[in-house]
Amino acid sequence: MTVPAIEIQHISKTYGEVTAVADVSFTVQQGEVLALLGPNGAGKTTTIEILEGHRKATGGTVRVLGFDPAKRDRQMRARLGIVLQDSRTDPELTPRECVAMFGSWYPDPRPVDEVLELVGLTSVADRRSGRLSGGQQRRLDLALALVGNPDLLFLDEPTTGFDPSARRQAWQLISDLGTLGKTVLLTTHYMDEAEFLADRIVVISDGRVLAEGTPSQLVGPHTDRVRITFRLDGAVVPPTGLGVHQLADGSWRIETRETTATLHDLTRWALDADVELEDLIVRRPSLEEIYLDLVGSTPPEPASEGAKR
Amino acid sequence: MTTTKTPGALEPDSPTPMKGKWPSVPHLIVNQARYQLRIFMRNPAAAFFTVIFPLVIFIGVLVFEPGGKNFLEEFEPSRYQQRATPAFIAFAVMGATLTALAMRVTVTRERGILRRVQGTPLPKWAYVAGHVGSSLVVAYALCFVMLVVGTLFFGVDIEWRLIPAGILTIAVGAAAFAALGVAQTAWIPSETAAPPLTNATTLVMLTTAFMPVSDVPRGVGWVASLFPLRHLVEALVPTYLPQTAAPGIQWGHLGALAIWGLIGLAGVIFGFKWEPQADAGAAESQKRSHRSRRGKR
Repeated sequence: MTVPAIEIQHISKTYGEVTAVADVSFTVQQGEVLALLGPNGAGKTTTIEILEGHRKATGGTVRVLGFDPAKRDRQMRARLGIVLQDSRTDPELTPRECVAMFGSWYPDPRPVDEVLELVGLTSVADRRSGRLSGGQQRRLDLALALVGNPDLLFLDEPTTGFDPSARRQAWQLISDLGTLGKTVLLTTHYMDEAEFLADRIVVISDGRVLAEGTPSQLVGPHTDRVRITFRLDGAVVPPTGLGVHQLADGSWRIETRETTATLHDLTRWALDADVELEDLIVRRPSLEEIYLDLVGSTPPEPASEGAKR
Repeated sequence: MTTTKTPGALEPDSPTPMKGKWPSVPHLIVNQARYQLRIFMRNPAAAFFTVIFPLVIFIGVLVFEPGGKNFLEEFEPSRYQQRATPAFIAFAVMGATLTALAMRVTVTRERGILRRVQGTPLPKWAYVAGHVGSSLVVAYALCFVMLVVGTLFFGVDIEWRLIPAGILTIAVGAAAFAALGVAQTAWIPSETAAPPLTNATTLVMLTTAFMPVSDVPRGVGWVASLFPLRHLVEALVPTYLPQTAAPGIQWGHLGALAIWGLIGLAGVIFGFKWEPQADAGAAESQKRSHRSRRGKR
């Protein structure tokens, strides 16, 4: 019988009139990698900061490794590794010195060289931290979180701002942590990242849990559904009864479980009415689309927040 | 057979599986002070303004012996160097503690370093104590260098019987200014605001400390006499003068410095901020605008 690494029940956090977290509950078992997935402003960072002890929840109960994080117990902090979304290190110190300094605060630190090796900073270990690239800086953040030999790691948007190859490298690194037996809670707004790294995903939006499960459980209810999209010339309107709805870009979409029958009905109508179904596509929705549907957003959003920062 | 434990597995039901030993708090503070000292020495701008700048002015003033009225006239008839050296030591002590700490601690706060430290088992006060410790080391080293320069090149006499009073005075002054320096960070809203605000404080301290007492209205002189650098100068200068009787401890001025130190300490305890301040407002407004955008949809 093991105690969960993280257990939160109905937590909320409000700042005056602004509600950052409305109602979030989930549990993370020891050794599990859980991704908190959601768009910016969903309450991911606030939730993780409550777990880290940086903020106090307005309501609900929180347990981290059996501790109340708001009390900021030193015993608890010795077993946590935290990568904040945005924090720097002393640019005058080298990565080796930074890691050694952080290590000296813990009762049971990992050897400095081993940590540098693990995050791949050995070759730049004696360079001033201020001269590291963004990706190297982020790996140093991870090194500082790992040097205390934590049981539980918090990674707040560990790959935001990375180029695709740096993201792949970071993914490899984080999934290696899983093999070290660490419990990991990470936040992300990328579905593919959550799917690649996490054993389980909690989708939150507007401060509430929308869905929870393994990647395949999340996709499960949608896998037997197929999307048919097409365009119509000018003023032509498709038939009712097939569940057709128009998208923001003017094209039409049908979601159906009975692909063959629906397609048959649609094409018969088109032949009868003598209209062309332009750009006719029949396919399963991608994970990204399922996620975006879940959080109530449409894919062609040019000012998508995930692209910023 | 009893249940065998998996090696390395957690035992969450036992009262916290602690491996290793906690580093002792004094060890942590000394260690932090050493890292901060290293950071200080690798930062040319900080080293210049704290060490080189007051030294150059000190030497320049001793070389040219500028006339004009200032507060140091009170300590005539002793030689100019004998009065100016302790006054500059007082100024350097303030620069190494009040000014340097206000700058450094603000920078570490705004970079999110304090915030990151809060997430570690290092007692957060030990981290700030490391900053203070390193600034005290710099302050004492600077005092020593100035004393040596004054003695070797400008014929300043060391009044050996007054040395204990001098050491005590510098200790009290440095501690008070260190507390005020850390307290001042609460009023500094961002990294870019740190230089102008700390410079303004330095100017106020200098003006009040060296104001020519005879030329200003009595009320102005009285207000000026409240400021801490003035008390440090008034406490330290007599410890360099041949006419001072041993032990030469200026209890009144040390008491005033101690009160300033306590004010600083209260400011630290009640006002110190661990979170970056410049970012906090931005993040909050971003959150708000996001919310209103969602609301409209």
